[in-house]
Amino acid sequence: MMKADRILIYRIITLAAIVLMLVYVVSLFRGEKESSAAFADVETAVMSAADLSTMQKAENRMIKRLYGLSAGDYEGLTLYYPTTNMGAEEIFLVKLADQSQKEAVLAAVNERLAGQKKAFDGYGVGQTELLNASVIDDRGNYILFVVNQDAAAIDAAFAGSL
Amino acid sequence: MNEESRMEERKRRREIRRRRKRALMARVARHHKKLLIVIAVLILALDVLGLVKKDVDFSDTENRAMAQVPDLSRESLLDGSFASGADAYITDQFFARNFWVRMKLAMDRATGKKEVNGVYLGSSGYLMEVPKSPDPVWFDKNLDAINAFAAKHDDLNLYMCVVPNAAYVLTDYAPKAAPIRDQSKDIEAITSKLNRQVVFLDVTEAMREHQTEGIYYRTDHHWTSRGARFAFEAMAPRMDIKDIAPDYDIYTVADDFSGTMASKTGSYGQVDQVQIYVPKKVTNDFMVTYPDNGGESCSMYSSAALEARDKYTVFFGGNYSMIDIKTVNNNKRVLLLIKDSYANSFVQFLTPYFEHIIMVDPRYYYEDIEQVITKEKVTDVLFLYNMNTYLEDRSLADTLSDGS
Amino acid sequence: MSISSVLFIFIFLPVCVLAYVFLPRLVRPVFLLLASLVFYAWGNPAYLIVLAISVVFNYFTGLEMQAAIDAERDRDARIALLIGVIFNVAVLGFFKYYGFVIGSLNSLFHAQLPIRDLPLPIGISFFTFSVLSYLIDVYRQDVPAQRNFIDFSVYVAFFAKVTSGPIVRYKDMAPQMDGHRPKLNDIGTGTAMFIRGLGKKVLLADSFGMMHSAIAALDASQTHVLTAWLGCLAFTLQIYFDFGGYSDMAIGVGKMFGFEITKNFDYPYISKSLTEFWRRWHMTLGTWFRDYVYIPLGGNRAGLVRHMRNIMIVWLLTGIWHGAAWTFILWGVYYGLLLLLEKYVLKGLLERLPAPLVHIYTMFFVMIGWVFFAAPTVGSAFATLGQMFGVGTAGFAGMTTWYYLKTNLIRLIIGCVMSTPVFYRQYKRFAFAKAPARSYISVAIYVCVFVCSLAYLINATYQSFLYVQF
Repeated sequence: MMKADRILIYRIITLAAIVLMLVYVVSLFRGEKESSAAFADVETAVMSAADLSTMQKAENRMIKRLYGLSAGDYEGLTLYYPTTNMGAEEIFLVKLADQSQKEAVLAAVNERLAGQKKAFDGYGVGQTELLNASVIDDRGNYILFVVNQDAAAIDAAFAGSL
Repeated sequence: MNEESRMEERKRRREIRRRRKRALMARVARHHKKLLIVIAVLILALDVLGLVKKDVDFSDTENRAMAQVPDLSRESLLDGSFASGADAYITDQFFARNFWVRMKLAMDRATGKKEVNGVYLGSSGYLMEVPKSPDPVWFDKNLDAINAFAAKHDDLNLYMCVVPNAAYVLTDYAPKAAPIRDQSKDIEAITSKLNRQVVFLDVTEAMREHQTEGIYYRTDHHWTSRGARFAFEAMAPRMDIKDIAPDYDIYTVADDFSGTMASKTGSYGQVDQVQIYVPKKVTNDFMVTYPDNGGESCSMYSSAALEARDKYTVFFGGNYSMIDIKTVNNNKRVLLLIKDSYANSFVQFLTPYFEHIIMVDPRYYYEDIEQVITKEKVTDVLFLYNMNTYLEDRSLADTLSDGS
Repeated sequence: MSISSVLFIFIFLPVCVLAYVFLPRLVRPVFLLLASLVFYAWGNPAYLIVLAISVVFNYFTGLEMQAAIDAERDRDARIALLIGVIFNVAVLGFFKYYGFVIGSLNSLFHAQLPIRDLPLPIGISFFTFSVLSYLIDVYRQDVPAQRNFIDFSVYVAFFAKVTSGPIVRYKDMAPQMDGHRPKLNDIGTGTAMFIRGLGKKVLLADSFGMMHSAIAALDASQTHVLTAWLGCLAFTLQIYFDFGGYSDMAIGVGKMFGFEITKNFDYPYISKSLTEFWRRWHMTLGTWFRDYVYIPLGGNRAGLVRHMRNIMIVWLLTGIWHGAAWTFILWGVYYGLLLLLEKYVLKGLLERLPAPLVHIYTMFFVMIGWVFFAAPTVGSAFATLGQMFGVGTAGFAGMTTWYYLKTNLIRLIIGCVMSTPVFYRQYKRFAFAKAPARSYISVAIYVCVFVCSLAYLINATYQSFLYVQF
């Protein structure tokens, strides 16, 4: 009787482990939660964490040129790019209209980052350092790309605002 | 009796074997213990020295910022950035890192390696960037943009020059038999698709004729002023530039230049001279303005650059998105120079022949180029790139098609 | 964390060894477990969850089977084993093959099933096979179930072997898990093995890797028959010194903590047949498949057809185990067919042929096999094969052949010599002779290998182990 109980207890624990693994796997698939935060609020939170003096807000035309993305396709899209042309500081914030856009946006961001790295490679040491420490944060329907001295703080503000 | 002595003998031999084996194992153990002690001391010493030594912000040898102590936080632990930061920190701040970097290069050389970190180790101290291969999508995109630009501006004189790189031109110095990319094929690929409006200026032959004369830096990926001069003299007649300066005053402004190729390989002790060429017997007065920072100067040379690490920045002090040069000439020729850094040492040959030169580097240029063309009454456009940068360019197409 | 990183060699390992030696016996296993968890979680803590659940699950499944066996309830034991095997294989299969299966389905049926990029939990192929061997051994009553949770966790997660094996069988490790203090001699032996492995990995394998990828990236117009063979030779040497070097390092680290970890390589490239090659290459994997798949299926004692089926199953699985790609499957099938051919057709012939011919035969087929293994796609594998036999090349040999041969000659010679036992045998004879000065010379040589490896590690060209991806 004792032994049968023990077998049962062990079996229950193993089944619990299986359930736990299933929950974990399902959670991997569910992906990140979409944030319902308004784009304007997130934008304010992100930009207030940054020193914007080295950047300027981009018109849609510039976003199209630097990232190849049309602002109209997204729920929200803001780009701050360097004022002095030899600067590398940049903040790019997107709220996706739907998940199918994510791949294209991430590709555009990576393309931009690679292009900037090449532009400053072997030439702009400070800029290269900033670019290497840049943050691409993909959180469900929001994506943030920061090249900045305070990238970590800006990213934290971003995460906090969702 | 006989049987017994044979048994005895066998036993004795076995005993000897066993003793030998035990002695051998004792020797092995002593060897490993010695090894352990030496390695432990070595590791401890390097750890302590690494701890004691001050962290370095920037490596002159490698020309890059060195990793610093990573931020420790819940976030950085969870997303792995602390781990990768710690890995980078410990190797970047390792005790006597430069020594290790040089030692690796020395070992690579000693074992016959001719290619290190994307750089060919040529003869006579030449370090040459391994030529890049084109990305087909961007190759077409850039050319399409140039062609569209040409179609729109058929009233302008359009020129294009893509300078082949050291590894391809300097056949005498490049590693023998290395599979170096044939950049004349890349040039062919460009010219075969290029709008006929654009005059392509191929300087390969002109450069190669002078390959023994120091036309590229040994430690940097740029051409020397001398190389730029030979290219200019080949290009000038086709750009309708007449009466070119018969000679130049040549000044050596630095003799301790260690450039990007040296940083990439970690080469040490190898330096180049930087020379500037001032045209003789021509009117050559001008005013350079830098819209990026409002700077103004009547020289294109920056003496401050000679104190800096990258001596190539003696030309204009480096790359700017736009540089504006107004000369005292009055020939109505206004040149828009769309360029990479190769052009920086090339412009010293151009100033006598234009009234106004506007240099634009699309990598850093965010403005509307069409406005410039209209406003400044541009008459000539020259695209001047080196092949490696051209093939990797991701901004030319955007700059050209912007606003259209 | 990688065991060939500066961080591991200069901080993690010394701290762990020192602490382990001086901690009280009872605390040692706990310490080793904690260290292993830090090692495993370093850089990607998320997958600690997978490892932890796996450990808990298998620990209790072992206990459950043991209890059932003790109560003589065979049915319960069998159910426990079945659930255990299915669960472990399912987890492995999910993380490793999910993307591949969905991708293949999509391309077969032009479907649009969503693919999420799930990074592979490090070492999942290796630790899954470890725990499977444990469960089966317990079921077969070869070994009693481990009642101590810490000891069991250390068996699965010990940092020396968790990422890339060797796949130590529980049976072999269990008697050593008493938390004994490692002897100075063991730590010394471990250090020597670790340095030998580090040298193989950093000084040889990485360099062959660069040579192989440079040749693989050449334009067809610059590739020649001999160049293609040179590239194949580079990969052949790379994979041996990479995985062999890693295994030496793992065994060395194990030794430093008083564990004898099973040998994984025994000079595979001196084999006289492909059958022998597989007894010398990745030995722990071969043994695993033999003991837990091949023999239970009936091995070679159930008639010709069954035997052929068994061989093909084992090799198909071996291929799939290496990765979720058609190249690996093809590679497995290739070996299955060749081994059958060898057993049933070539056996007599191989015995009569002179030794050099037999070696050439073996290495020829091993190298062809590596072409599949190295290629990113089946198409590129056949393209490379074509080049090796003169299809789609610029000729038999050319400038590039000479260039790659010349610039790698010293390493290639060292690599080929070190693939045979000759060098190390002579070295031992030299180093451990009675003359006392010899041992100092030998220590100096070891230190030299270590310092040279360090120069490469500190430079950025560092490459991760090939076998970490499996």
